[in-house]
Amino acid sequence: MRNRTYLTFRRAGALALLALIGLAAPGCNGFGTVDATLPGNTPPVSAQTVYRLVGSIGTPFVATISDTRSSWTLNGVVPLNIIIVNIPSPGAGAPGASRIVATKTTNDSRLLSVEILSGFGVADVASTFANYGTVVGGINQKLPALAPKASPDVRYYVKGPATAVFNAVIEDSTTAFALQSRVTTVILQDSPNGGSQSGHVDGIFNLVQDIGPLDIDLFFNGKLVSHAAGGGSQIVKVN
Amino acid sequence: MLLVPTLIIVAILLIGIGAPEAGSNGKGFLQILFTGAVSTTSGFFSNPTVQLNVVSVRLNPSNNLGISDGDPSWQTIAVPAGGTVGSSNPSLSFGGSFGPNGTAVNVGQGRSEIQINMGLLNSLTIFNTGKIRGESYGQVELVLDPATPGFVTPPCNVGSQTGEGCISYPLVLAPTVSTIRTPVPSLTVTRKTTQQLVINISAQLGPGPSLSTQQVQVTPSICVVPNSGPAGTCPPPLFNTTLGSFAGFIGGKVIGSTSKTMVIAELPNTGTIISSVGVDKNGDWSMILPVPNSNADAVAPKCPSGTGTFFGTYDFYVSTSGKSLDVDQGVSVCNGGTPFSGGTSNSPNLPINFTLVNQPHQGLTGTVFDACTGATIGGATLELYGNTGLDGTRIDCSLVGNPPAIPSTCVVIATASTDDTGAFPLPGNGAQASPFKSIPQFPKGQYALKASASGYNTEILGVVTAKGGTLGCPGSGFKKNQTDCNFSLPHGEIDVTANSTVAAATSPYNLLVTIEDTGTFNGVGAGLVTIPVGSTSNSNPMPIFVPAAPPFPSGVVVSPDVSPVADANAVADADARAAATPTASPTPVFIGAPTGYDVFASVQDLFGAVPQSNTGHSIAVLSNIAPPAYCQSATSAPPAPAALLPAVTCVGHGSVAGSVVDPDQNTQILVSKAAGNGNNVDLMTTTVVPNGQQGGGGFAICAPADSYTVTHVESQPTGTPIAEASTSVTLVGPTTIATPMTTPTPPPCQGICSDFSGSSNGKVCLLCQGTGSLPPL
Repeated sequence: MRNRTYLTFRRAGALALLALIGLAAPGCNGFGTVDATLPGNTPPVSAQTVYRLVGSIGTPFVATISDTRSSWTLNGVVPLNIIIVNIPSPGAGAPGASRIVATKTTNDSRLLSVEILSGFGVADVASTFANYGTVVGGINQKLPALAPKASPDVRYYVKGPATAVFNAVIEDSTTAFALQSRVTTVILQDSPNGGSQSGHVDGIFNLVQDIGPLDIDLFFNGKLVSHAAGGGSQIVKVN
Repeated sequence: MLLVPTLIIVAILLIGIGAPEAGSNGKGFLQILFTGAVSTTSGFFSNPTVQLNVVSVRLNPSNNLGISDGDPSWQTIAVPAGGTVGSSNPSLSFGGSFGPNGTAVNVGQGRSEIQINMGLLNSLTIFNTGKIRGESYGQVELVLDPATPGFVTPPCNVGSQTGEGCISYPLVLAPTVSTIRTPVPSLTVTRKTTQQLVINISAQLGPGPSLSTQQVQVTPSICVVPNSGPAGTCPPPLFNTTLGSFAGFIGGKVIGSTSKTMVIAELPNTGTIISSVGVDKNGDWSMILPVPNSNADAVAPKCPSGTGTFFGTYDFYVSTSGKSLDVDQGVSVCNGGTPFSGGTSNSPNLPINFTLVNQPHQGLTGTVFDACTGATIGGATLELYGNTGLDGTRIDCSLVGNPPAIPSTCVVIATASTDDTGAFPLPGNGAQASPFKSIPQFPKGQYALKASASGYNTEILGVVTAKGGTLGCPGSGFKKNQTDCNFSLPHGEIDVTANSTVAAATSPYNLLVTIEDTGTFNGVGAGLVTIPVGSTSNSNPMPIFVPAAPPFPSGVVVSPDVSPVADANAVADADARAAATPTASPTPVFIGAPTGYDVFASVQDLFGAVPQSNTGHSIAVLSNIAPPAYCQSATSAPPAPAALLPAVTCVGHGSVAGSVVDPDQNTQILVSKAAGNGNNVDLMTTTVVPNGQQGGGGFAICAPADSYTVTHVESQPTGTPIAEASTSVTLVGPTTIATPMTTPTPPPCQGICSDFSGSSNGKVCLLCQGTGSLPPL
């Protein structure tokens, strides 16, 4: 019993410390302050949506992700998290619609599953075991059609030891988005700077668990334009 | 305001408490395996597809099934991060989502879950291995998603008084179900050892829905299948059977093992890991494996007479950091007997013993490129083949034969994937490094490294110990860097034009196009084609990459598009090969193209819970398109082959039920459609309920209402399934539900082939209808 009590205390302590790190790390739109207890006039933010591609580790797939304004196509392997920032919102704080179509690119019965997280909850799960099987998932309002290809096409690939958790701030010249995810993640930045091809974009990344260096690539319109690797805080930017 | 300082003080105080040393039992590994069945009292659910959303399995030392959810003694085996059923990595459950209002971060609360297809539980399925406290346990609990524990997809009904068929209904736990727990008889997890626990899941479905928007009640229950003796606590038909009747037991000893040695079983000639277990302090290991193949169906029975009736074929390998490699390829594991203990058993399977010696390890890196453009390829798969010579100091996977191929004695000992820049390997997770980071470095012989990606020709390189003692691919053709293993994959393309009989009205048609080797279900490429609103075809053909046909540039060796050939001399000449000096393989070697390609395209119609408005369209097929030449594209002279697909049209959903004579756990149903040139194009497969369960031998197919060929096939561990009986069927089309829609309750309509977003004027609602039963296959 003494062992269990110790473990419980230790776990509670670790969680409390992690919560502190989490509270301190992201600016949460209120840049210039890190005190999350004083958010000022920060507008309401809808729950973060994450498309989590899980299943048999290493299963390759091609995925098309779309919100109401932009769409992206990417190749990946399980596991992979996909996050869209700056999703068009139908109203203040209201979550915007998005949808994913992912197709296995192997001839086997390995599992490909798309898990849509909204905040901390699993909003939807879809799976396929079929050869070249397809999974579809969507969240919030119905998306009547895939949107045109993103322009500019801005993607942050965050790599490192699988399961490492990181915080990130994704910015353009006027707006910033704070998020948290787990390696490996692709962050799709929808229409930064109003769709300008020359505006500034950057991403600031911090590991929550210090279990290995982060490795971040920033792709702009299909070209690798910035790369950063290492522990602590890492920044990638263009323009 | 006081939250932060309070948390700091609490964190420091709690972390500072010292760990007690006395009385610790340490931790051991427990691997969870599932089996199970679906039962129902409603005819609406004949042979439904049921998927359960599993969050975790957890155990408690107490045998009080009413113990609190928050009891600190629960030990959880979660869905592994990024992994799921079939994954063998120790689990790590950790959150990854931002807070609900953008300011609250609660790391650790994000939840992973995985859908388990109950249709696949007719054979053992491995859930995960967890590292849990070493002690005796009294109960086990299956944790499902409390909000949506799963989904059920029934076939179509007859008439119009029930909900739509061939769409997915959310499950809801019956009011009587608060937890899913069962006692565990005599389970003691021991420090640093691996044990296995088989759990049977029964899913009892409630009444069928009367509306398409309803939920369906499910009453799940579990029982533990003991390693020996009948499963008396399980429901029929399992209660009077033993684990050995449907599982295979294998084990043995690893000489020279360490505390971190793992024995891995994978599907033959693939890198698909089925199970992995650790060894105990004596080097003994034991494993429970699925046995999906029927002994009676095998060309040569795999199990000794009077023993097992089912078998599974597996490759085994053992590798430990700082140790050599040992493998055993193509082992048939039969059912029967009891699990291995201390390296022995009364199982019909002979022990498999491995020997490891000290050996330095090296990492292996490289990049995969597109040979036609020079661009890097993300998401490519690397498979490293290895074996061991007689003295354990060399590997010998030099390509053999003409055309050259990987010897059949070699097994996949490591797999990796490329990242967004085409580089490999991706890092492992925090607890387990990438297999490509630690590869035994043998002074003699060579590995074979295979790179593949959808739409590209596969390439094989030889991996040898290069100058300086590193592993490299000097035969890759990349002159500047011979310590890396760089690949350059060729391809061609097929330019696809999709058509529809009616122009898209309010939403575009998105067609998923799949290209496969002609006459097979072996996909080689896929793409999404969009027909815009107001059009009946895509104006610009969509290029989809496929493997190119020879000739390739001079000096490149091309093998035909076939599975690896057996090396007939591999065993007979083992002594001679062990003494010989290895010769360099003629690498790189490329796998060519088939004689032709089949193409099929379906409007994005996945019978999901929220289908798009353009569902229920026919599937367009084309057969035997000539393969493109090396790097041939739409702008080449001559241009790449074109695929002008027949028009898709709205036909609604349909379904048909059938049965298979004497099915086993590996029986499947293949659905194909005539392409008009005498060839059939394979479209989809489905599983069959095994004998002994409710609806045993039965299956159901959901598809657009059209004409198909339905074939009973016996899938093989690798290669092409063996086709048996087949029949033709034309699915009955849907009925029309009268409009306008009633309010507030709409009719059982999911908007098939129409758009029901708001208006009810002039809309047509289609309700799918069942097509009777097929003759036994």
